Amino acid sequence: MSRAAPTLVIGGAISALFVALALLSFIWTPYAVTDFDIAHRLQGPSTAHWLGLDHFGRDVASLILLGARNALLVSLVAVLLGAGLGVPLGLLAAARGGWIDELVMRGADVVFAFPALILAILLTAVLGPGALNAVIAIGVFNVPVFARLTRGSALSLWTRDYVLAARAAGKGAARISLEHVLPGLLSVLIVQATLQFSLGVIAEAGLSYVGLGAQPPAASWGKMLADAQTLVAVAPLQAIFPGLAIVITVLGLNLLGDGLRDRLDPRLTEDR
Amino acid sequence: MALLEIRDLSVSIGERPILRGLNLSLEAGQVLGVVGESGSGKSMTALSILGLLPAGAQVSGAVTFDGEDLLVMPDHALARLRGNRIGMIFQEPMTALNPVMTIGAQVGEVVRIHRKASRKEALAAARQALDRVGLQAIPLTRYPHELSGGQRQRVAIAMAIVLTPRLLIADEPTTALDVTTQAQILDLLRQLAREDDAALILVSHDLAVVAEVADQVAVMQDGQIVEAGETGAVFAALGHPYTRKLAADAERAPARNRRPDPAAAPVLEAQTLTRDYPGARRLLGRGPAHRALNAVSLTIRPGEIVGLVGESGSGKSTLLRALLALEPVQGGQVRLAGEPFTPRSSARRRKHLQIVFQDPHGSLDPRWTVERLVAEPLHLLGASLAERRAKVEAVLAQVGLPAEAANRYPHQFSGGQRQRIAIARALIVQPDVIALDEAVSALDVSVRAEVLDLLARLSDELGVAYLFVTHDMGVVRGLTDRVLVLKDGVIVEQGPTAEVFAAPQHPYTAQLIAATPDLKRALAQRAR
Amino acid sequence: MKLSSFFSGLLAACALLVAPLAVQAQTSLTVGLQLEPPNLDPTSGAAVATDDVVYGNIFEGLVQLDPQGAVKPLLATWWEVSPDGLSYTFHLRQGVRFQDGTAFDAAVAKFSLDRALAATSTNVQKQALGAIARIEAVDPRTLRLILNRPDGNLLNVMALGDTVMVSPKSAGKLATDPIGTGPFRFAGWRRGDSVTLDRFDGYWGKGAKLAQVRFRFIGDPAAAFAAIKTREVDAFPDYPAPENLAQLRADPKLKVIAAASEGEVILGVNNRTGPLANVRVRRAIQHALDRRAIIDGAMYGYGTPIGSHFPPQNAAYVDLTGLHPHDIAKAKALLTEAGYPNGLALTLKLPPPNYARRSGEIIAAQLAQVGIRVKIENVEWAQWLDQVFARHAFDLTVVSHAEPMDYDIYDRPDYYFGYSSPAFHALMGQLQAATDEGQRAAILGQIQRRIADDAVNGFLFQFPRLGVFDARLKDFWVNSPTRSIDLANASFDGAGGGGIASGRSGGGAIPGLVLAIAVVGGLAWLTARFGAVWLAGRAAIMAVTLLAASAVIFTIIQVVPGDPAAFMLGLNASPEAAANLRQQMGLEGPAAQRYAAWLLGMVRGDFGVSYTYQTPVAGLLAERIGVSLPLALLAMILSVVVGAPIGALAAARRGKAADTVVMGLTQVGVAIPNFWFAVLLVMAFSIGLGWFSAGGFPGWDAGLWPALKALTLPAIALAAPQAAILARVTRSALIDTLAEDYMRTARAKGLTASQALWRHGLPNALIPILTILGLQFPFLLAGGVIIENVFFLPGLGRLVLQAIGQRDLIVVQGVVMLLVFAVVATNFLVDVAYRLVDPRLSGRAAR
Repeated sequence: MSRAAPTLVIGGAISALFVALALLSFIWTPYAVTDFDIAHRLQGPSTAHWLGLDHFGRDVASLILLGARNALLVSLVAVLLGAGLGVPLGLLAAARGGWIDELVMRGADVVFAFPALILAILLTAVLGPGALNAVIAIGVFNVPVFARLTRGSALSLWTRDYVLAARAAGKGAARISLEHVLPGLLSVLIVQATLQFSLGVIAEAGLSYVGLGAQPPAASWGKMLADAQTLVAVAPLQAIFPGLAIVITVLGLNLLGDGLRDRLDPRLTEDR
Repeated sequence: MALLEIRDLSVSIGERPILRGLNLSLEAGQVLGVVGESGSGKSMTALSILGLLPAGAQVSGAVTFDGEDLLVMPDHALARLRGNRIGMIFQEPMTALNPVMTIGAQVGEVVRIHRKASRKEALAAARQALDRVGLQAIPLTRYPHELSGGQRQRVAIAMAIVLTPRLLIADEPTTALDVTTQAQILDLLRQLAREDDAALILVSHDLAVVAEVADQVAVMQDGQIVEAGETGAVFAALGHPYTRKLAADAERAPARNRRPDPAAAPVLEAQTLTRDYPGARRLLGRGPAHRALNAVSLTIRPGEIVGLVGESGSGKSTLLRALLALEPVQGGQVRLAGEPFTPRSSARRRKHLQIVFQDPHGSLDPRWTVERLVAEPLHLLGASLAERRAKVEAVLAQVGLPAEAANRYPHQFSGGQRQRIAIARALIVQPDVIALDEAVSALDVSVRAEVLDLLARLSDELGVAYLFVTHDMGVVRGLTDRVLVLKDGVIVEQGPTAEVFAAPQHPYTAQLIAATPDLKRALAQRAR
Repeated sequence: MKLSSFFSGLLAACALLVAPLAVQAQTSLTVGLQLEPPNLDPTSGAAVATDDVVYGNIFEGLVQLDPQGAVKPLLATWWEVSPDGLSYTFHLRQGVRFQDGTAFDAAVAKFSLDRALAATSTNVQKQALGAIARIEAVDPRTLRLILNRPDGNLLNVMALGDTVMVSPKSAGKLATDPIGTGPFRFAGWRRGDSVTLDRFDGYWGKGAKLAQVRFRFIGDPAAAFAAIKTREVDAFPDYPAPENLAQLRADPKLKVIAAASEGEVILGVNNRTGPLANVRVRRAIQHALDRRAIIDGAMYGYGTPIGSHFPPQNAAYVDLTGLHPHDIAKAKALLTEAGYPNGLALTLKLPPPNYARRSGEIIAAQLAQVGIRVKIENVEWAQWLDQVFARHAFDLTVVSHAEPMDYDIYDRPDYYFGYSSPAFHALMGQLQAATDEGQRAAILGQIQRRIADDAVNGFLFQFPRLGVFDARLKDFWVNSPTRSIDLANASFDGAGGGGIASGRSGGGAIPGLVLAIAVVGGLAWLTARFGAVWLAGRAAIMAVTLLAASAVIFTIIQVVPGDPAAFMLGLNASPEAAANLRQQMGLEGPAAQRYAAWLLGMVRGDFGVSYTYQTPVAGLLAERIGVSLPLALLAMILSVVVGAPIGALAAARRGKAADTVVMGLTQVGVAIPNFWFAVLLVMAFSIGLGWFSAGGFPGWDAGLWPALKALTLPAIALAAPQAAILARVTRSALIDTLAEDYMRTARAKGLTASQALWRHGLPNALIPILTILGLQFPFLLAGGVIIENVFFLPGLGRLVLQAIGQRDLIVVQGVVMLLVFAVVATNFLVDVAYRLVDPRLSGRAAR
C-alpha cells in the first residue's frame, strides 16, 4: 500500500494534466493552428514558440494541445462505447448462463480472433478515415474486453453468499446484477477502463499515423508523427514532441490504472 | 536439557504486538498442544520457531532448538534445519501442495535438498514416507488435484516426516477436514511422533483435540500463555478463568424452554427429493449424471430445531439449495407452509423461509450499510420505506445489536456481530423456518456459544423453526431436537437427537459420533 | 547493473552484423520507385509504374519519343505517311528477336496492334487508336496502317508503352512474365519489394552496360530517404520527399536533379453544381490561393507556379499566373458578389501522395481566410477514382495531371471536373484543323487563357520531377514525355558501391514439407497425449471460429467502397475496358455464391487470384509470411529473452530499489508506441550510426545473415513494448505465486527463498505468462503492419495495407483469414502448453 500512493499520485497528476490540456484546447491555444507561417517552418523551440514550429510553420505546442483533445475524445468515447455494450453483455451472460453466455463468449472469441489493428484499418477503409470511425474501430475491440472481464468477475460474485442471500430474499437476476454484482465490479471496471483508455491513445495514434484517424485540420499526435517522419534527419524534434506526448499520457494513464488497482482491488487490499 | 526451549519470545509487526514474552519448553517424544482462539498468536508461535514470520516482524527473546538459538541463525542455516530436523504441517491441505508437481517429486524434493540424494533415491524415500502415512495405494506420479483433502494432508505429513525430524510442528492440521478424516490424521501424527521419538507441537483451536492428543498443553490468549502444564492436570483444575470459559463454551448446550408440538402441520417438508447433476460434457452428449440427492424426505414443524449432519460431499448444500427452491429438482417436491415450493413459485413465498450462511464475512455485501443489508428481504412484505428503519432497529435489538449499528458497514463488526446481522436479516420478514448453513462453524468457541444462545433464545421467543446444517456433531447435540444424518445423498438415519446420540442405529452415525472430539470423553480416557 | 551489460552485449552483437560488404566493380543498379506496378503488362492498364519498369527496358514499340518529345525510330527504322494522312507504312528493323526466341516481323507487329484493338481488349489507348481501320502485313519487313480519318497524334500514341510489340507466344502471360524485345529480360519479382531485370544478351542493339537492374518499391517518403542515404538504392528518379533534398544535395556522393515534368498539379473543382458552378466563386478561390506558399509548404520550394493547365517548358506556354493574383480582399468581394457573404462550406478529397495531402492542408487554411470552410477527406486512390473520378462526388480535390498535352480533358463535359464551354470546344476544333506551328501555338495560348479565365480549376504548380542519383551513375535517362526509365545506356563510373542480392524468390517446397511433417507429427503426438476426443473438440471450436470470422470478413469486404477495375485501369480507361476487367476478375455474381466459392477455394488451399498482381493469393501470402512470421518470432524471442528475466529479477527483489527502477522503466516501455520507437531506432542506428540499413528486406536467398540483419531493428521495435509487458506480467505472476500456501510449504521444506521462487514459483507463474505470450504472438504478427511500413519490409501488414488501398479485396480477405488462423492456431498451442504446464487441465479429474 505504501508504494501504491506515489503511483496513484503521479498517474493521477499526469492524467489530470492531460485532461486539463485537452479541455483547455477548446477555449485557448497559444496560436491558431490555421496560421501557416511557411517562411519560418521547422524552427526550433523559442520563447515565442515553446516547442517550435512544424513543417507548415504551425505552432507545435498548439498542435500538441489539440492533439490531446483528439486523443482524449477518441479514446474516451471508444472506452464508453466498449463499456456501454460490453458490461451489460457480460452481466447478462453471467446472470443467465446457458446459451446466452455461450453466444456472448463465442462472439467475443471471434472478435478477439481478429488482429485488432488490421480490422481497425479495414473498418476505417470501409467507413472512411476520420475521428468518429477511429472511435468505432477502437471501440469495437473494447466491447469483448469489457464483456469478458465483466462476465468473469460477475461469475465469481454470483457464487458469493451475499448473492445467494439476495436470491433467498427473493430478488431477481436483473436486480441482483444491478444491486450487488455491478457495484462489486466497479473497481475492476474503473481500472480496466483506465487501461483501455491508454491503449486507445496508442491505437488512435497508430491509426492516425497510417492516415486513418482524425483528418486535418484536426490535429492528432499520430498524424504529427507521420508528418515528422521524413524530417527525422532534418528536424528530429518534430518526431520527439508528439512521441513524448503519447508516451507521457499513456504512462500517466497506466500509472493511474495501476494505482487505482492497488487502491481498489479488494483482493490486493485484503491479502497484502 | 529440553529439545526446544522458548524463552521470553516477543514478536511484533509494526506497532502491533503479536507475541508477548512467551516461555515454553518441550522434550523429545512429547506432544505439546497449543490451544487458543483466533488472534491468540498460536500460529505465529509455530512460524517463529521456523523463522518464517512475515517480512517486517520484530522478534526478541530466544528459541533454542537442540542447543542452538534459532533466532540468531542466518536464513541459509535455518533452511538446513527446516524439513530436515524440524518438519512442519499446515492447515490447508488443498493449497499447501504445489499443483503442478507430482507428489513423489514434492516429497522427494525434501530428500534431494538436504541429503544430496539422486532422483531415484529421493523417489524411493518418498515412496517409503508415503507408505508410512497410509498412501500405499497412491502412485508417486499423482498430482495433488487427483487426491482428496485427507490424502493431501497425508502427503503434507509425508513431506514433514520423510527425514524423521526431531521436531514436528502441526498448525491446525485437521481443521479443514471432516471429523472421520480428522481422527485418522490425529492418530497418524501421534503414532509417527512416537515411532520416531520426535517432539510434536500441535496447534489447534479445539480443546477436545488437544485434550485427546497432547501430553502438555499451553493455553494462549492475546499473545500470551495464560496457562500451561500437563494436559490432564490443566483440564482437571481449569485453574485459569480463560481456560475455564473455553471449556465451558466448548460444551455449551443452550437452555430451551419451548418444546415444539409434534402434531402440528409441518412448515417445511421435502418429499422424496431427487437431484441429478448433468455429467461432464463430452464431444457428443454428456457423461453419466451424478445423483446428488436420492429420495430425501424430511419435515420440520413449527418451532422445531432439526439438525442435518453430513461430511463434505454428502449432499448437504445441494439439499439446502433444493429446499430453498434455488435450483430445480428432478424428482419429489418441496412444500413450504403447506404448498408446493419451486423456483417458479412467487418470490413472496420466500418470506416463510430464510437462510443464514457459514461465513458472515462473505454473506454480507461489503458495500452496503447494515440497514440496507438487513432490510434486503423486506420487499417480500411490501413494507414501505418509512417502516424500514423502524423494522431494522427492532430486529437488530432482537439479535442484541444497538440501533446505531444500522448506519455502519459490515467490516466494522466482529465475526460474531456479523453473524448476528445475518440472523437479523433472516428474521426481519418473520419467517417460519430459518436454514442455518454451517452458521457457527467459522466462529471461535466463545463467540459460537453466544450465537447458539441467541438462536435458542430466538426460537423460544419467536417460535421460529431451524434447519441446522452442519458437520459438527457437538453443536448438533447441544441445540437440536431432531437430527438427520446424510451420507452420499441419502438420509441414513434420523430421530430425536438424544436417542440418536445414545444409540446410533447406522454404523456411519456411530462412526461420526466416535470420531468427534469430545473434551469430557478425552479427559475420562486420560483419567483411566 | 545487469541490464546495461546485457545491452552492451547486444550492441556488440549488432555491430558484428554490420561487417562491410565486399567491394566490387558495380554492374548492377538498384532503382527506387515510389509505386509498385500492379502488373508488368504495359498494354493493359494505365499504371505509370508499369511503364517505369518495363518500357524501354523489356518492351519496345515501333517508335519512341526523344527528350524533346520528337518521334524517333526504334523497331521501325523509318516510315512514310501518305499525303492524305490515311496510310502509315512502317519499315521494320531486321534481326530483332523477342526474349522468348520469337523473331520480330510484320506479322508479329500486326498481332500486337490487333490485340490492342480487339473487342475484349483492356488497352487504355484503344480509343486513341480508334482511327486505325485496318492493319496489313505487306511483307515481313513492312507494316501498313490504314486509317479511316487523319490523326496527327497517331505517332505519339505509337510511342507509348501501351502500343509496344509483344510476342504472340507470350502475350497471354505478360502481367506476370513480360517478354519483349528490349535490352533487359525479366528475372524475378518479389511482390511488395522489387522487380529484377537481367541484361538480355540476344538484344538487337548495342546491348546494355549494366548486367542487372533492380527496381525497388519504396512508397514511404521516410523510407525513401533512408534508402538513398544508405545507398540501398542507387537512384531514385522520382523522389517523394522534397523536404530532404537540401540535405541530399550536400552529399557529394549524390546528385540531385530537379526537372520539369509534364504534370500540372491542380485544385480540381467540381464545376457542375452548387456554388462552384458559379464562376465568381471559382475566381474567388483562385484569388484565395497563394501558390508560392503552397509550393514552399508542400514541395519545399520545388515546382513552378502555373496559371493554367499547361507546362511552362512548352514553347506555346503563356504565363497566366498574374491573372488571379493572391488577393484575400478580392476573393471575399467576389464571394459576396456571388451571394456568399458569409462564406461557404466545401469538401476537399485528397488522394494519398504527399504533394496532394500537404497542398490540401495548406489550401484548406488559405481558403479559410476568405471564409470558405473546407472539410478535408483523405481517400485512397481507389476511393478517389470511384468517388471523385467516376461518380463526381466531390467539391474540391488536389491531383497531378501527368499526361503530356492533356488539355483535351477540358473538352470532355463528362470528365470529373465537369467543365463545359462551347467557346473552348470551338478552340479545340480550330486546333485540330490547324497544321501550322505558329497558328497552333496561338490557339494553344487561347486555350490556356480560356480555362484560366473561367477559373475551371485552381492551377497550382508544375509538378517537379525530383531525382536523386548516385553521382557515378551516367547516361541514366528518365524519359519525361513518355515517363519511362530508360536504362539501355546507363552505367557506373569506376568501381565501388554495394553489391546487390538478386534472384527470384521461391524454394518454399522444402520448408513447406518440413512444416507439413511437423504438423502431422504434432497432431499424432497430441492425439496420443490428450486423446482424440479432446483434439476433435478443439478442432471443432477452431473451425467454428474460423467460419464465423470468414463470414464477418466477407461481409465487411462486400461493403468496401471503390471499384478495383477502375483503379487498375487508371484515369483514362473506357467504361468498356473496365467492364471487361470486372468480368475477368470474377467480380460479378451473387454474394452468397462468391462466398461459397471463396470458402471452398480456401479449403483446397486456393485463396483466389490477386486482382492487381494477377498471381495466386496463396503464393503472395506464402511469400509475405516468410517475412512476417520470422519477424514475429524474432520479436517474440527477443521479448521473452529480455522481458521474462527482468520480470523475475524484479519479483525476486520485490520492493527494493532495483525492482522500483526496472518496473518504472517497463512502465515507460509499455507506454511507447512501437512505431515511434521504430522511428527513434532508425534515427539512432541507421541515420546516426549507420549500423543498420533503414529498412528493406534482401530475401532469405540472400543468406541468413543479411536477412536476419534486416529484421533486427524492426524486431527490436516490435519487441520492446512487448518485453515491457511481459516483464510486468512475469513479475506480478511470480508475486502472486509467492503468496500461495505451497510457497510457505516449500520454505518449510528447507528451500531458500530463491530456490522456492525458481522451483515452485516459476512453474506456477508460467500459466499467466503463457496467456500473455499467446496474446502477444498474433499481435506481433499483425502488429507489424505499421512497423513493416516504417522499415518497408515486404510482409503481410504492408501487403494488406497496400491491398486495401488498391481495392485488391481478395488479397485483403486472404491476409485477414491467415491472421485469424494464426490467432486461432496460437490459442490452440497455448491451450496445449497450458495442459503441459498445468496437470490439473489434462485428463484425470480430481477424485
